[in-house]
Amino acid sequence: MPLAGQEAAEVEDAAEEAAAPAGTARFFLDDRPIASLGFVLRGDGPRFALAPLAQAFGVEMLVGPLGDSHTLLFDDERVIVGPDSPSFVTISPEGVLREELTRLSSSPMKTPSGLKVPLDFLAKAFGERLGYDLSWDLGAQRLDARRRMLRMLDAEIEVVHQFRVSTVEIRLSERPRWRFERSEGAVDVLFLGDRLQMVEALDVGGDPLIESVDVSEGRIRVALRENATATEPRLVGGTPARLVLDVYRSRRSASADEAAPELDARSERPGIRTIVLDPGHGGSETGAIGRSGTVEKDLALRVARMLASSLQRRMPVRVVLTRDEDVDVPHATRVAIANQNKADLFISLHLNSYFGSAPHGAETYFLSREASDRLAAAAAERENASLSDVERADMADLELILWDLAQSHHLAESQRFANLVQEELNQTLGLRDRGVRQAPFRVLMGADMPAVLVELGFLSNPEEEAKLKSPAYLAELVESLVRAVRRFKVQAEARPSTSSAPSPTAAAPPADPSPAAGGAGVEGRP
Amino acid sequence: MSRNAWITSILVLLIAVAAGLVWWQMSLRAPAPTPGTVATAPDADAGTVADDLPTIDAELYFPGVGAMALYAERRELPDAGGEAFVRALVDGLIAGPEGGSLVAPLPDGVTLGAVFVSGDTAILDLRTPDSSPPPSMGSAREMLAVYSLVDTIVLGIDGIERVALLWNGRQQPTFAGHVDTTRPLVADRALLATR
Repeated sequence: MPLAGQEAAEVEDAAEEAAAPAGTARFFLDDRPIASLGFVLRGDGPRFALAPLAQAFGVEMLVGPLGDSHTLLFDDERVIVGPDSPSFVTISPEGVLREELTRLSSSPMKTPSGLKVPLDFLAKAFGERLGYDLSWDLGAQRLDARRRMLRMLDAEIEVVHQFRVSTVEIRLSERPRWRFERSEGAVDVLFLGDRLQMVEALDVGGDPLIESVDVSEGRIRVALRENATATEPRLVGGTPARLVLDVYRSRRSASADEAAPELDARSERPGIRTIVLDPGHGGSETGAIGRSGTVEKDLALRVARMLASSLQRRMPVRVVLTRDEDVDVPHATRVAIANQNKADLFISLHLNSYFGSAPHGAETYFLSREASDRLAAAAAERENASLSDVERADMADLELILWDLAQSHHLAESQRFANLVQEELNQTLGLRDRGVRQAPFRVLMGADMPAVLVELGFLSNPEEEAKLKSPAYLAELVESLVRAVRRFKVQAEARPSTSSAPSPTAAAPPADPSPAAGGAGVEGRP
Repeated sequence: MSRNAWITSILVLLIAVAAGLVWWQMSLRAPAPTPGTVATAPDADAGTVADDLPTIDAELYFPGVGAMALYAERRELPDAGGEAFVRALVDGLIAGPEGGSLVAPLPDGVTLGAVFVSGDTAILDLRTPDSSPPPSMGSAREMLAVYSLVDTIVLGIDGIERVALLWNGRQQPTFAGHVDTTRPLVADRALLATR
């Protein structure tokens, strides 16, 4: 049994620690003796007591509730390491993973005297963050941490603008030591103990949000155009590394100039004028596959095209598809397409599957309150933090989180529309009523309009899969959805003022934050 | 000695005996480090073998084959403590149910990589064979797979309230196309059912 193996290995660790050469090493920081610390030697290298080293570097350390994982609290991130595997994880204070797991040469060891970690953990966790080189002299039983000399890093910078967001990507030959500063009209990335060597000169061209990117030996300054704001850079990868920051129009300006008048117009004239249809999955992401080979991404696109055509024939609406071909489209881009088109309704179309073949019928989802609350809690946490230290507040991150919260302002309307969809599907098709449900679906987060995800049937049910391949059946499905939209439209237009007014915090959407996310274009259908 | 004094003495004696028994029971278990403090491990060598570990009743939540819900299956697992217990729960889910009409939540070949627990959050790194992309599946199947993991851990271990899921060492926008995994998830009790 795996647990027995795991436990046996731990016991083996303890036994081996007792048998292996061990002792007390001296720890020097810039040649000053700082502390004594226990170490143990194994075939795959030495391991050092973590607690005294954390103390020596001035980094607070917490032990998890189960006693194994140890969390190091650096200024703006947390490093979690434990005896479970040869890796560690870095997360933000809100619990969001900062980068992929970092591999280690060997696992840390849980010993009676505390967690002992390999030398490369010290180098990667403390050395890279605080700017020290670590070295171990077995003969002298001496561990040294010396402040690093200047390094020359090769740098390349790329600026990409799409969906109202400009992304600055700084590619570096090694993981940098850096600090981020904001000033009036600019943000700076300061390199600590590193100097930059530009591989190519940079021209930001006519970027609408960034005036210039100036590189000096130890600093990159991004000068922002009026009313633009930038996120704190995020570090991706180790060596080579990428620092990525996003620039977008600030919330104030968005409401002051371009966004607000249109949004206000939307709230003054309640109704359904623009509908965004989102065929689920696409490209490399197939979605569910039926027993006779029906692929969800293909069927979802087919239904979306039929629905778009039918809606535009039957009512005065503009319909936009998030994809009109078989391509990968990130969730953030799908939502951004809806927000940028000021859609009044967002419908994500999917086909379901389950472990067994029995489940059948349609389901309609809207965003779960838990997911909405989760985002609200994260936003509140940041907002509270900003109150205590306004200068240090990362308002850009807060705005990103608030944007994620957009759907929470439309939950009631989303539920109302979900009920209509479900009613129509049940009545028309005599499907089993699986009801309206809530779930933390990514594609519904951040949509600043009523938004639902419709599961039209189960491809894992052979009978339902067969029906879903029939053009007549698909036409009936589409007809049901058209009726639901019409009822919702009539209800919305009958109300004196809309209850799905735009969120008070609505900002220019932080659409697809990564240039790598690709550019699934908006497939408008005028 | 008055009658009241006798009664008081007997009560004090009984309380002392009961407190002693509770202390003795608790002392049989290895002390866990206090959360939020630097670990201070005992001086004695760690050292029991797996076979000697006490066991603990645990409930693993598996998806039903026919009904879209999670059903508890009771297991007796070695009380290894620490992250090893999280691993035991997840390995149990991966291995699959012992009873009929339930199903293993994760696709064949998926294994558990690293496990970390920080604060109230458990972080699980799921691995696919050859680090292939996470499997694509329908939302019903995905919901049950995700919450099989989350509910089993959160409802089974005091102190853990949230579970973060990684695929092959990276955080993904979704677990398998639908459920948001950019932030840790809390338990969803609405998916639990009884047989």
